[in-house]
Amino acid sequence: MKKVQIAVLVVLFSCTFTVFGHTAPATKYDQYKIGINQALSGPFSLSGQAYLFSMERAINEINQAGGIDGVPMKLIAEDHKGKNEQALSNLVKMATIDKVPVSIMGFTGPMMVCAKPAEEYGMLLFNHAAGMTGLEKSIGKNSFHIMANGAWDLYVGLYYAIKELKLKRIGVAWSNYEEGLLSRNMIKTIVPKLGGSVVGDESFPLGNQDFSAYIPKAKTWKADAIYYIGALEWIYFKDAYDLKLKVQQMGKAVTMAFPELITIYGKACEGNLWIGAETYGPWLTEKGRAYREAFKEKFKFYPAFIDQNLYDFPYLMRDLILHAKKAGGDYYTADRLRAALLELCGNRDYKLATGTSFKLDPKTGFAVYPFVIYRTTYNPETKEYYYNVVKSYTMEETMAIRKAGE
Amino acid sequence: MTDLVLSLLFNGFVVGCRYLVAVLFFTLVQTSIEVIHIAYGGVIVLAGCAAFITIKLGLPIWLALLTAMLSGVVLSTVMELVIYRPLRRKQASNMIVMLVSLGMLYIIQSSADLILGGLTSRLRPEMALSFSLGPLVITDAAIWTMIGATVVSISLLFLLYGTSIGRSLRALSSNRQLARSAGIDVNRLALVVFSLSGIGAGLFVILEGLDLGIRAYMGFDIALISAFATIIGGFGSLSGAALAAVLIGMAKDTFPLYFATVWQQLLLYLCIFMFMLAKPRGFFGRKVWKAEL
Repeated sequence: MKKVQIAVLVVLFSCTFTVFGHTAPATKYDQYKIGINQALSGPFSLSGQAYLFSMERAINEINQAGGIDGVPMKLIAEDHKGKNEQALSNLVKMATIDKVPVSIMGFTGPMMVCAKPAEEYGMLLFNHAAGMTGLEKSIGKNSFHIMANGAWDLYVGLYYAIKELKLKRIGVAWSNYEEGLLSRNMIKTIVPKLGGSVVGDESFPLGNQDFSAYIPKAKTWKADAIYYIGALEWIYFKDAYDLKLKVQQMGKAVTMAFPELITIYGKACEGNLWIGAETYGPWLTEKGRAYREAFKEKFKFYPAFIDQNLYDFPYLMRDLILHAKKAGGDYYTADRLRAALLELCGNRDYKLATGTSFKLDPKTGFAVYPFVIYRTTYNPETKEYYYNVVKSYTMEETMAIRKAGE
Repeated sequence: MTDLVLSLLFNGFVVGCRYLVAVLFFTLVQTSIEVIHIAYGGVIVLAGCAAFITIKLGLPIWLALLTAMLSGVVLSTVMELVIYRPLRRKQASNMIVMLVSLGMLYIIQSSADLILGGLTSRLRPEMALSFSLGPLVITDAAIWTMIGATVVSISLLFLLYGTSIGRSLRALSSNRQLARSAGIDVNRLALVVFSLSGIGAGLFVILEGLDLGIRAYMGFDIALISAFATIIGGFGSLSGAALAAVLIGMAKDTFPLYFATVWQQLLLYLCIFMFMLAKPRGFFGRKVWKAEL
């Protein structure tokens, strides 16, 4: 009987060890490739270059600190020039030739066309510059809208203007591309729900420079505020100065990222309130502040919050890789990284390198961030403009605002 | 509504004046040398690059104007010597000349893209000065444009009617064979005309740059507008081309009265095509050279 008991114990112990104690050894990698598939040239290039700079800086920092368990990160950068077909070609190249399992993807059109192919090719896409307005459903199990979910700035910006500033007459100026159209449709839904009215709605071609006809038309709206969605039509701000609105521009911080806009934009701030709603990036960490200054030195203006998220991305990847590696096996794949993402960030606050936090909704793949409303002020002596946060909303408040506008 | 109409008409007039600066020189080349100089758009872009570099070096705008004009003259002269003159010598058809010209435009624009990138480059970082006159908002760029258009018009009028070169140009336009027989040196005149067009390109790009900015691919649009204005005005008529340029600008800016601004370009070209179908000779279409300004 005693021998039987010992044998049973040995068998039980062996089973336990086999099931719980044995882990397949982790695959050895000599580098971790991460991709960026963005508009590095063409009309959106200034944004793309800012994102590239941000990612490169973070990767250099990680590699200089010894990499990820001694393995360096390598950035594979592809330029889609803002064109959907080029974005898709880049995705295929990254997946099949470069063997990159994860990539940053930006701008609405490229994101949409690459979502399903990313699943087919086994790539994870971390989307940002999210014009996913109105599309808060998952566009694929491998697409996550994590890096600066700008889709909600419509809700927050409009809420602030209508509910808090009591500006009811809203005009919409939008550039004729996917994000412009989607955003415009959402604004026309959100504004009435918040108690305002859309008094004018006019589109112009992507990259348009001549607003000589548009501005006189916009004046007839007698709007309190105009929500502008666009890419490079910065001339709008020069001409729109004449509109003398109470609130001029809300939302897309990307429109503030052009150097030549600084002085124009700053001047246009006089007499107008320029506000933006963005995912909040408090410069709480020393690393974040150093990045901010380096960005300023290169681009001659401070980074928008959206740029900061691209600096956060490699650090997020580092955490995901380390987490996935614990379970051994071939861990640097889209499936394993997806699992790590959901475990670390799904329905939990995850703190990014620059200090801001987000919470990932596993069902839709969307991240919830705290938001801020900022006002742009301009110092004519130093010729610099500043983001001044006038209002902060927590994640929970952002969610509530979102519900109010739905 | 009246305020809107006035604003649109005025703004369109200013746009038309800017077109006029480019159109007059384009038409001058076409009328005197019989070259549909589509590559003129490329000359404008290159002049724009020169202006852009000048401004980036921190130099004043008047110097940018000079460098733009100089670049325009140099490139136009090179085009005449290296491309158009050999084609004339070989008696190449107008179609071939136009296609070669189009090719040059694309080469220049693609090269300019490397300098300017995909961005619009403004020639001055600060906002335009402006003042209101009733419902109109008048910027300094608009004033300079109207002045530029006036100066160009008067200068060309003086050139054509007050100088021997102008007389020769009119003779050449009127009857090329007879003009040659009379000893008019076509090649020398071609050099003069192309050089002048280079100056015009420099002026145009500065006016455009002050208001809208310089883009690498702006050349095709202005070349197309210039070609259409030449046809609408009537071949051989500088005054017709000038009128057509202003009307094109005003039409473009008044369409938004009834249509979204996103339809401006489409509607403009639609109207141009319809006009050409209805009146292919244009406003003052006649074969004899006459410039009435």
